Amino acid sequence: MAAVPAPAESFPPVTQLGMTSIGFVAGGVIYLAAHLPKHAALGPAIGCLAVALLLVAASFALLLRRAGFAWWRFKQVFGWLLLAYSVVGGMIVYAFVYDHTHVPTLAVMICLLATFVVNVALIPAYTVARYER
Amino acid sequence: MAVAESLPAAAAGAPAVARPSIPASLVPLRGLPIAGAMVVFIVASIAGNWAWALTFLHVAGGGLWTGVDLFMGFVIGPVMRRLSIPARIELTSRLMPKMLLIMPTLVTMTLASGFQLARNYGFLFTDYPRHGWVVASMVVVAIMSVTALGLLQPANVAVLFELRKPQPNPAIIGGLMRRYVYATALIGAMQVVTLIIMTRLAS
Repeated sequence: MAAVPAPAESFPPVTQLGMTSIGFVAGGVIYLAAHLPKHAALGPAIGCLAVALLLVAASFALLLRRAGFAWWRFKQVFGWLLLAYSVVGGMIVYAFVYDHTHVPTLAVMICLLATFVVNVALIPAYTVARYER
Repeated sequence: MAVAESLPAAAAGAPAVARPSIPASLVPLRGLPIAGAMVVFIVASIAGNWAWALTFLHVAGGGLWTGVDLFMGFVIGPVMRRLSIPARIELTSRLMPKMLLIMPTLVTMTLASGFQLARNYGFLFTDYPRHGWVVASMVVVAIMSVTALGLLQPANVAVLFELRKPQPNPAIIGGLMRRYVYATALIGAMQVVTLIIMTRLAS
């Protein structure tokens, strides 16, 4: 039987940070979408974006500090999922462009979606890599 | 969960479980053209604003998504908890690759077409009388997305990688599957809330 991996408490809370970050992205998108077709003030959405980005940066910083992390496996999973979800993100951007979304709102939406896509690739890549032995 | 509690002991004492043959790819390649065709169909439906196609994608995708979540969370989950560890791994190794392809396709179908339908019918606009219900549905979708993308999908992918190892660890697979089934049950419950909101909007 293969060795059981290190206990969960020794791993950084990347899943929790990623889920919180996705929550902030969702909050920003819902705020903007809830005000259509009017142009909502972008401040709250930009605030959500900033917090979401900060949480992603914190996740990467915590992973970089962890010795022995299976980066090769992380990069493999991260790359493929980034590709797959870029297609999904691209479709959503296409829908917003098609609907003639106001340019500043569209710019914030794209940044929120990019953060979302990175998170969606980050969490499974981390989950797979943490069990690599 | 009784079975989950028994898994660490099984991991420590049981011999390595026999596993089914491992396919070369993580996802079933034969399903990729179908998923690709669905994506093309969604894009064409949005571009052409085809009312029937958008409605079909939203109703069929939403119905299947809800059904699969409820079935996984409340039927397959309890069944799996009563299976032996080798049987659970056998079921997991055949089920999870298909789920990795089916679920994102259904979710994309439902959400992309739903957003476009809502926009076409004016449901997104703040002056729509039931705008609050639309925003409520977005909040429910956000909760489901966080659960699906933060817990369910990572567990799915990690199980598939674990199963491909020379000696899969039943404790890891059991823990991840427990997370998967709980997340599916939570999403299934949220789907019931979505059904209530959608029927409120339609009536």
